[in-house]
Order: sequence, then C-alpha cells, then structure tokens
Amino acid sequence: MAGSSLVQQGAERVWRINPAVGLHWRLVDDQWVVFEHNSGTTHQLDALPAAVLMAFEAGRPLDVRQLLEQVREDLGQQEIMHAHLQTVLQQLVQLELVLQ
Amino acid sequence: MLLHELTQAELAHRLRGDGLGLRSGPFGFRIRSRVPHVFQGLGLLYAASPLLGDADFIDFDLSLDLVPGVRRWLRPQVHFVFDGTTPFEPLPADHAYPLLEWSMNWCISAHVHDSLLLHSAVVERGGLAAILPAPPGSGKSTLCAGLIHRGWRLLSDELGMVSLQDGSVGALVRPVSLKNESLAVVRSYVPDAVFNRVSVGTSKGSVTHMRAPSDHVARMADPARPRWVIFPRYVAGSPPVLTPRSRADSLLELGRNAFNYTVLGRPGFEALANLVTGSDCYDFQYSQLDDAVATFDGLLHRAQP
Amino acid sequence: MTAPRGDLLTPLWRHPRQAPELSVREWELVISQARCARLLSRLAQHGADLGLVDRLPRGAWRHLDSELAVVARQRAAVHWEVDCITRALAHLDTPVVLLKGAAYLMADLPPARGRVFNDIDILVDRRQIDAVESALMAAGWIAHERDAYNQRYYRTWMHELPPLLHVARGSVIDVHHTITPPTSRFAVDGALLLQQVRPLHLGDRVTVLGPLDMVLHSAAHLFGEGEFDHGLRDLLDMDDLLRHFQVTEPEFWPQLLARSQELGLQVPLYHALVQVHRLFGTLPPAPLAAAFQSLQPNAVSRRAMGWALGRALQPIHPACASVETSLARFALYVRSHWLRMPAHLVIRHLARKAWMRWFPPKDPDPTLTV
Repeated sequence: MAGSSLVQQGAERVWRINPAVGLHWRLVDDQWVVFEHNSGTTHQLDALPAAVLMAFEAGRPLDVRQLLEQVREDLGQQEIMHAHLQTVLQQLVQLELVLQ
Repeated sequence: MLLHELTQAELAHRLRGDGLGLRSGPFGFRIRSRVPHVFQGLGLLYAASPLLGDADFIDFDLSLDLVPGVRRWLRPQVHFVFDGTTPFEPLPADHAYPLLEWSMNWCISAHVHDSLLLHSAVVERGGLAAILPAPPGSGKSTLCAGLIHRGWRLLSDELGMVSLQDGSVGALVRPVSLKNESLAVVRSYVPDAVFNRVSVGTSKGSVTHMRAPSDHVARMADPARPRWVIFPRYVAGSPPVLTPRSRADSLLELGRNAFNYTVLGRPGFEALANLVTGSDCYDFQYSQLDDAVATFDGLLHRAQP
Repeated sequence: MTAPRGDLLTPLWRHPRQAPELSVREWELVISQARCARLLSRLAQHGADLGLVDRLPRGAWRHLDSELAVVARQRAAVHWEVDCITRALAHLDTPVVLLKGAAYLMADLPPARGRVFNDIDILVDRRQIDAVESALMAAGWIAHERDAYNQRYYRTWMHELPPLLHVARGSVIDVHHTITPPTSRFAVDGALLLQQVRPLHLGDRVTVLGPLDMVLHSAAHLFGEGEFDHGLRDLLDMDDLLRHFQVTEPEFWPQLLARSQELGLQVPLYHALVQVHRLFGTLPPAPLAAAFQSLQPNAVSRRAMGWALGRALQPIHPACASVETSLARFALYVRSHWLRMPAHLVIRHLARKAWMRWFPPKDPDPTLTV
C-alpha cells in the first residue's frame, strides 16, 4: 500500500476539571443539582452531563475516547453517541467547569 | 403593648419625634414620619401589632418624609431615608404608605443573610406551610389574601424566611399588598377586611394594603414547617389545575425567586435542596378563590393521615 | 433619652482586644456607622474573633452574622475571578499583579479578614496594556463606562483603563500600569514596582506587590483618591499591613523609608503615618522617628492637611456629620483632583461630576426591584 493511510498528527485533545471548582452534589428525585461554590452557580444536570462532570472530578485529564468509555460504563449505557458527548462537553466548557 | 393601645396623639408624637417602634416577626423597626398618610396607614393596619420595648434592639431605623425644596409646594414627593442614605428615588406624596411597606421589605431583603429569603407568600394550616413563590403579577397576593380568610394562617405575603438551621419558615405577618383588579376580588371575597386608602398611579397601578387578621399577628413568633411549594398562576376563567413539578426544577426556580440565594452560597443551596426534598412541588393555575381554597384544603387533607 | 452621637466606630480599633461595652442604642449606632463606612464586615469579623455573639443585645448579632455570609461568599467569588483573569491573560507576556483587596485575600494578609470586595484591581506591564485589554474583552469583559468624557478622563488623566465589566458574571476589573495617576505630583514608574513583585505560589504568573510597595500604595491611594467613603477602612488596612510586615520583613521600617524616597511617595506616607498613629497608636521604631519626621512637607500644608484628613476620616454618618466634616471632605476632594489634573481642567471636571450627581442614572424603582 503506497501512502494511502493518514497518520494522526499531534496529541489527542484532552479536557480536565477546572481546578478552581468546588462542587457540591445533591440528587433530587432522579435529577442531579450541583452547586459550584466559587462562582456561586447552581446547575440542574441530566444524567449524561452529570456523569461527564463526575468523570472529570476524579482528577485525571481525559480525551474524548476515554471519557466516552468511562461514561458508558458509569451509566450502563452503550448507546451514548460520540456527537452527543461532544455537545455536552462543549456546554461544560462554556460553563467553565471543564477546561481544555 | 399593642399599637391600638396608644392614643392618636401619642402615636403622632412618636412618629414625629423619637420614632415608633414596631415588631415584625424577629425584626424591630423604628419608623419616623411627619407624613399624614403614614400616620393614618400605620394606625389602621398595625393596630394589633406589638410595639417594641425600650430595651428591644432596633434592626432598621427608617424615616419617610417630604423631600425638602421648592418642589414640595408644586408636586410634593416623599423619600425613604435609611442610615443617612436614600436608597430609592422619591415618589409622589400620595404613594407614601406603599413606599413605607416597600422600604421595610427592602430593609430586610437587602441586609438579612442569616436566613434564606424567598420572594414568596407563605401560609400555614395544621402546622404545615405552603410556600407560594411567584414573580409580580402572578396573583400570589390575591391568593394569599383569600386563603388567610378561609382558615390558613398568614406568615408573609412577600418574604418567605427559611431558617438555615432547621428549615422552618418564620412569620413576619405584615399587611398584605393588593393591586388593581385583585382589590375588587378580595373586597367581595372578604367583606369584613380592612383596607388602607388606595394609592393610584404607582408603577404597579393602584395599590393598597389589607390588615392582617389580628389572631395571625398574635402568632408572629410561631414558625412553620414547609410541606408544599406551589407556583401559582392566575388565568382568567381557568378551572383549578394542580400539576406536579419536578423538585430539581423547583429548586432552581426558588433560587431565582430568592432575594439572597446568591449571597448565601452553599448553605443556601443545602437549605433549598432540603426544602424541596421535604415538600411536594406543584404548578397551580386557577381563577376562582373558592377553587383555590378547596385545592389547598385538599392538599392538607391528603397530607394529614 | 438622648440618642448617642459622635464616632463610636473608630475607638473600637484603638483597643482591638477589648470587647466593647455598649448599650443597646450604642450597638444600633455602631452597626449603622459601620455600614456607612463599609466596615460592617470588619466589625463582624472582629465580633466573631472576640466571641461577642452572646454579649450583644438580642437581634444585633444577626446583622454581623449576615455580613459574615457576604464576606464568605465574596472570598469565594474573588478566587473565581482571579482564576478567570489568570486564564484570560495566560498567553501574554506580562506579569499580572493583584492590587488591594484581591492581593490581600490571595496572599492571605490581615486586611483580607472581614473584608467586602468591590472591583478587582490588577497591574500589568505598561507596554502590554492594550494587549491585556483585548485579551480581557475576548474573554467576556466589556467597557463599563460608556460616557465618552469619562472614558477620556480615565485614559488620559488617571492611571487606568476605564473599568471593564464581565457580561456574564457582572464583576468589574480595573487594569492599571502603575499605582498613582501618571500626571500627578506623585507619579510612579510601574517598571520600578514590577521589579519587586512576589509570586503567590512558586512559578505563578499571578503576583502581588512587594510589601513596601503595598504599604506605599495604600498611603498614596488614601491621600490621592478624593473619595472618602472608606478612608477609615483604608487606614485600618494600612495599619494591618504595617503591623504584619514589621514582623515578617527584616529591616522593614528603614526599607520603607528608603523605598518611599525612591518612589517619591514620602509625603503620602508621612500623612498616612500621622493618621495611623493618631487613630491606632502605631509608630515606626524610636531610632527612626526623626528620619520619618523629616519626610513631612512644609508646616503650613502639613497642618492644613492634618486637619483635613483628621476630620474627613470619620465615617460618613448623620451622627458624625458636621459642617466642619463636610468642608474637610470637600477640601480634600478638590485637592485630590488638583493633584491629578492641571488646575484649569479641575473646575470643568468637578462641575461635570457635580452635575452628574444631581441627575444620576436612575436608582431602581423599589416597586420594580424584587
């Protein structure tokens, strides 16, 4: 095969929890609400964003593939789509809870 | 000692001099004013209210007087002075009494952060409290005014004070503010109710205040345990519709409808989480006060085994 | 019964370890005065430290406790802001020097205790100031001051960009390149300050001024700002810093003397030390007394300034107000503007500021505020 495969250039993008956050979780019925005590913001999170945030809370930086694996395992759902995860990730970055 | 035990002369003397000391729940107010509407309104609406003793701590010292200057002869205005500052723009002298009530609310909501302060009415029956948060214009005051004359106790029509220590709600028991169409509705629903004169042309329209039942005033030291969070909405012609609302959603909405949620930080969050966890949360749509009373009584009945 | 009058607040800090013995009426007044002087939070912290909760009249503690809640919330908020600012400026080639309250908090200095914060003030390399402004705007800050005249005032006559407001958080940041207005008699080259900054943590881009410069900044700010709502608070801060650094920094007082001369801030330092001594009893060590005395400006201006500062530092409260105090305050306000702008421009600016006070942006109508 002559030169038909593309080689991955550079490192995979990773995300991590914003080290400045302090999160306090409450499960209210079947929904998560979380209070971030420095910014003073309160968020109501569905299961997927909650799982993503909790995955990062463990401390290690994660790339999308690792995140997807972790979240699928935590939620016991293999059908979680990559694209859906990307959207959630972007929302958390916008909230400054997660950093690139 | 209660206010109605003062003679008119003595009441006027205090207001014009050292100030009238009034208790509202845990708060002591000292009020000074030379404005006749204020004298008349206080005498009427706070008749059953306890006066402060000489040794009682005064939380808020405020005065409400005519704005000095040439203006006072053309279009007299009043302003509210607190700690040597005037937090608000002056209002026409005709609105002096509502300004007093709004100022008292402001004093509490701007400075008290050892409790969670919700922008809501709170009523109680059978030891259980219903918190009625609502943005202005949702009919919560009308609803509150109706309920408190059909067996429910008034804790507050504006300020839900939730203890950070034990989650109970405190009673302030001040006059209930009513405006525009709700005046007529409440007058016919409660023929014996005592109302102050109506101020017209305020930014909320026509406004007045209704005296709180004296047996409710007498119980201002009795807190209550929250049991329901009910978001009311008046819709003309609507039958009563009570719809369960997500507790998590209610938590956030309560936070949005609180005066000091953003100041309290984590203790406020935990207090709200505890509040919604321990309460049934609903949206409530209605048009007739009788329907509302029946709905609330029904909730009470189901809650009491 | 006559109501108590006069300044009940300042004497409390003369004897900070003594639990105040006050009547109910006096406690009401002290709390009210503290609120006016923006010192309620400090009073609250003081009360907490002395364990006063059981010794206050019933109901009084709630006001202090409430203020402590505000303090706690703001400390967290300042941490967040500093983090956001640091991230926004991380790619630029300038140190980010925190000033005043944010510096006290992040460096864990005594004036941070019981403090309520307003804007965040930072100092950056003058050559990078435009890049800093752009980077902050890219991260969500916008110009807070929209009046063109005031914009020009800030940029041309003061030492800072007009304040920037964050669109989402509503927080305000003031970006400086030095600690005094460049046109004033006491102009300081920011580069000198940058030479002595100290990082918060090892390797940190975020820094604070060196201790000597922190003290001198406090003195210059008090002397040159013109707004006297919190003169007393700023002097308390300065007193805190002096008492702290004289213990932690070797040769602190002689170095303070030398640095004040190096930066040309001897006169503000002199005046501030006079006030700090008058109110709280703090003094340079005796061997240096003569050297500090020699910083004083000529006798006439010294007496006048001493009188003006002495009166103007009382909390602004009806129970403290007197004609003398108002005059003093005005005299200092005019003087501050003279220090900052050439004389012929002062009257024009003051007249405009006074005009704006009579026609201010509307306070919220109480009926519309929740």
